[in-house]
Amino acid sequence: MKDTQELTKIIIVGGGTAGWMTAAAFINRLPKNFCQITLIESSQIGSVGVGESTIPHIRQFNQNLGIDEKTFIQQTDASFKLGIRFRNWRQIGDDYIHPFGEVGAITNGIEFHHYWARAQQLGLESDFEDFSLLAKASRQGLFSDPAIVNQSQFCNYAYSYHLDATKFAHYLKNYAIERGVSHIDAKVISVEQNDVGDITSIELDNDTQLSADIFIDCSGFSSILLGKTLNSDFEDWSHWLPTNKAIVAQSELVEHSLPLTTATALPAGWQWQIPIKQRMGNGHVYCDSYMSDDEAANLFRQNIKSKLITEPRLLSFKAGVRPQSWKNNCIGIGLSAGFLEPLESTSIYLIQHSIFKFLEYFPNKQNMQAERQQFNDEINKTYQTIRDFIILHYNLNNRDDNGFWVHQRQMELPESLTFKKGLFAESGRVKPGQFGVWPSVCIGQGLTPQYPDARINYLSKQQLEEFLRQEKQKIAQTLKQLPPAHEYLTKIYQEVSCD
Amino acid sequence: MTNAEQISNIVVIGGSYKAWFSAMVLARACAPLSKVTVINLPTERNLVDLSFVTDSQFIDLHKNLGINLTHLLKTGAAQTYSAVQYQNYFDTENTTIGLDLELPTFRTIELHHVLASSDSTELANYSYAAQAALNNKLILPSGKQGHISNSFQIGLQMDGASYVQFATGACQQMGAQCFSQEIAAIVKDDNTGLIKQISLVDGTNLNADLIIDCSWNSRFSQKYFSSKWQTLAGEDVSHTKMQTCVQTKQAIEQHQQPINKHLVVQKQTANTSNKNTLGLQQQFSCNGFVVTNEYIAESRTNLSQNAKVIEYQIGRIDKVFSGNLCSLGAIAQFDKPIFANSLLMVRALTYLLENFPNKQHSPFNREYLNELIEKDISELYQFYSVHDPELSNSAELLVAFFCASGRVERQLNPIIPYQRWINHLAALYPAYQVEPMVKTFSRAEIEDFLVSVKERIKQL
Repeated sequence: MKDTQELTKIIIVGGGTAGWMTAAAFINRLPKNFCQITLIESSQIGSVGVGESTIPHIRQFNQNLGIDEKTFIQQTDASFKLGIRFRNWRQIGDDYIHPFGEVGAITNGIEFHHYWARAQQLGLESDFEDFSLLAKASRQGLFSDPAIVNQSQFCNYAYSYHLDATKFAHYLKNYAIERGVSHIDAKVISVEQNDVGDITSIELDNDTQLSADIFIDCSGFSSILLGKTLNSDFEDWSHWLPTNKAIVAQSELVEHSLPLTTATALPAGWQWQIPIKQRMGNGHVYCDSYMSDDEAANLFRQNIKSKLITEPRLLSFKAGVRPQSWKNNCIGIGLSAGFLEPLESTSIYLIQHSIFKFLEYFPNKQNMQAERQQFNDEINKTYQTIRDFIILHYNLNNRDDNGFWVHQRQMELPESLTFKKGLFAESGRVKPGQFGVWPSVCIGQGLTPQYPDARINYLSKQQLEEFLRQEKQKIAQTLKQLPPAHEYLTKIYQEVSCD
Repeated sequence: MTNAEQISNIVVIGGSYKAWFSAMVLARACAPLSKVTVINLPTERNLVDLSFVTDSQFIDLHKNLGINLTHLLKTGAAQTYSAVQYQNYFDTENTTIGLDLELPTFRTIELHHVLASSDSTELANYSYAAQAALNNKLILPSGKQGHISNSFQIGLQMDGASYVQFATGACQQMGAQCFSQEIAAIVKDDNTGLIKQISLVDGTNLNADLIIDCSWNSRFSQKYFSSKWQTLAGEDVSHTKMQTCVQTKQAIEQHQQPINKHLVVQKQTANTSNKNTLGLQQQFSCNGFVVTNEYIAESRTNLSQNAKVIEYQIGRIDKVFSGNLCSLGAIAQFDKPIFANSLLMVRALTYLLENFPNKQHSPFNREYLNELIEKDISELYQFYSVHDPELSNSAELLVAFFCASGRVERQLNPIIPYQRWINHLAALYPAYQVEPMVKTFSRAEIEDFLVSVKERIKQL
């Protein structure tokens, strides 16, 4: 064993969701007094407020930090989410749900969508979504704790939350500070580097200079350390994901909203609708080459069914990633490292993934080359996997109402996606390690496998019919036990306030 | 898929345990939709009674087919093992490595990091699997989740002849046909370019939708689909040396010290580059050694009469799946048997079953299968290359990462389990850097933990 030289100081630049998630996870995971963690944020700089809609991994984040679910819900105004509803994506009038967890049961080692596809070929038509407990529950506005659901039948029951990202960051801020993270309200005005380019210190607008061994850049799109100081290259993916603007605003809550994020396709992009405890989050993501800002704003207002409670804000962005999100002694986490539009609610997940990857590969002071390379490889793979999945939604469309959709359908895909799409179309296979539930999105958008798994060919039409009937029955029986989502949530809020 | 698109005739070519194993798996998994026929090549019969070492995935695949471990132990004249002892491979004379899936952790810090900060050195001292094997004890994973007695795998040391006999019987029971003849001709379809018929010397014509080539050196893939034999690193094969593997069985005399039955011994010696000893049964053991041809004359002088001498060229095929032909076993990839060499074949067969092709052999599925198998071959080659200085080190980055951090990337579904990588790398590169957080704990805390692990193992 070699002598090690530990890191003693870590500085996180930027608060917001990324900054405070990082600070909270670090202070929780690193041994006590192992190193000093300081977060610098300026109250003069606003936050994008990343992620109102999340995926089930956030529950793991909370569990790791020992955060009680009910307290979390109450502190972040959260509501439950069972999946994403996609409207008008394949063509206008279409509507499908991408639920969390697989659709149908894996039987004899074969995934359900093979049985379903074979049944279609034999003329047994049915809606794929009918075999997802989560999709059915969410359409009916039902929700329950997984404990109530029969685990042997629905082992992949998963859920996440819609939340107020600003309150989430605030909650984690208290969590981190209580446990020893130092917080400084100041703006970074200059950055010092040594001969090899490592950042040695930062100068703040309160006349202080702080040094550290590692700097975490959570400064969002401005990427002041990783981008501006270290010039870490940005790999532009906007030719595949051309949406580059979003108009966002909050509106009054629509009562008894479904436990779903809704993503409605529009002529040059799509609009989200996210119900949290007392309001809706709304946003229109579009490509300004196909629609002006004014048109986009008008369309945005037309599609909101409740009264706006904040003024619409315009955001600009570009899809892509910094392949070296760890450069020298600086790690970019969140928007400073890359951006993928929020179609699959992956922003908070990407932050979480980078945090835990860094903790997994926590380096020594004197040599971080190997960890850096490994970290960058793995983070890039994750970004690429999610990128492919998001492009897939746009690509599988039959819309001709705007050049935007025609372009998305006809454009050359990344090589990795061409293969994955071809493989699913041909045989219904999904490469291991993919993000999301591929069969739900592919079938939801009209791509059914030509040759489902040959091992089910022995099943007769009658046997398949019976199998599908039983699957549906299982779901119908479970649905009867589930309470309305809003009642379940109200109960949690009441319990917390009584406590 | 209509019946016309379905694979109905599977032909397995070969005669060794690998061919019979593949035939049995396919016959069990694909019945009644596909018929399996075995062409037992006379030239392959010499290979039937070679002994072999398997990994836990070999046992798992049998279990999935309804053949449990007890049955395998009886029918295959087999012996379990839970550790491998490497003699003269590493810095120390004997290094025992358990088939661990996980070793105990100290406050989420992995054992090898903790150990490097203490006076102890060998991971095997804290491995239940290694300790049981060294003490000649038969153990099976307990099934208790998260328990030290469950965090390892077992493999089998098997007698080839007994296993072939068992698999032949199983194939016949499933209605598989067998022809013990040479192949006279192979006919391809002009339109699709796929093999459609195999003719035998007695004039029998066999229809074939899917061909599994498990032969030793027929190399149908090269002959009919222009695939290439390459070095394991994927380079031109012309400069590689021929090697020879010699295997002998030895009866254990009653007065002899019984060999350690639950341990596979791999030894590196001066005139053989690799030698292994398997404790097959109480009655006999098996020794195999591998030499390059430069030394063969010398080694042959010491051979007993029943020794098998097999020549081979280390390397691999560039595409395991070509057209409608899948090459499995030594014909697909061959390296010195320093590790369970049936592993690749077991995994390839599993991939094939999980991604079973249609009659048209659609290209994406074939490419996907090749990609899965390719990934395994590369990882296995990386694993070999860290042990063998003769091979170009394809694991350079992996080793650099380990040395600099004591870490290995956790891969999805790796061919070599994560802990096995750690165990081997820690033995090969003991000067690895440890996780910085270890330093926050006192030496006494660490020593207490290590003592408690040893105690637990002792009690079990």
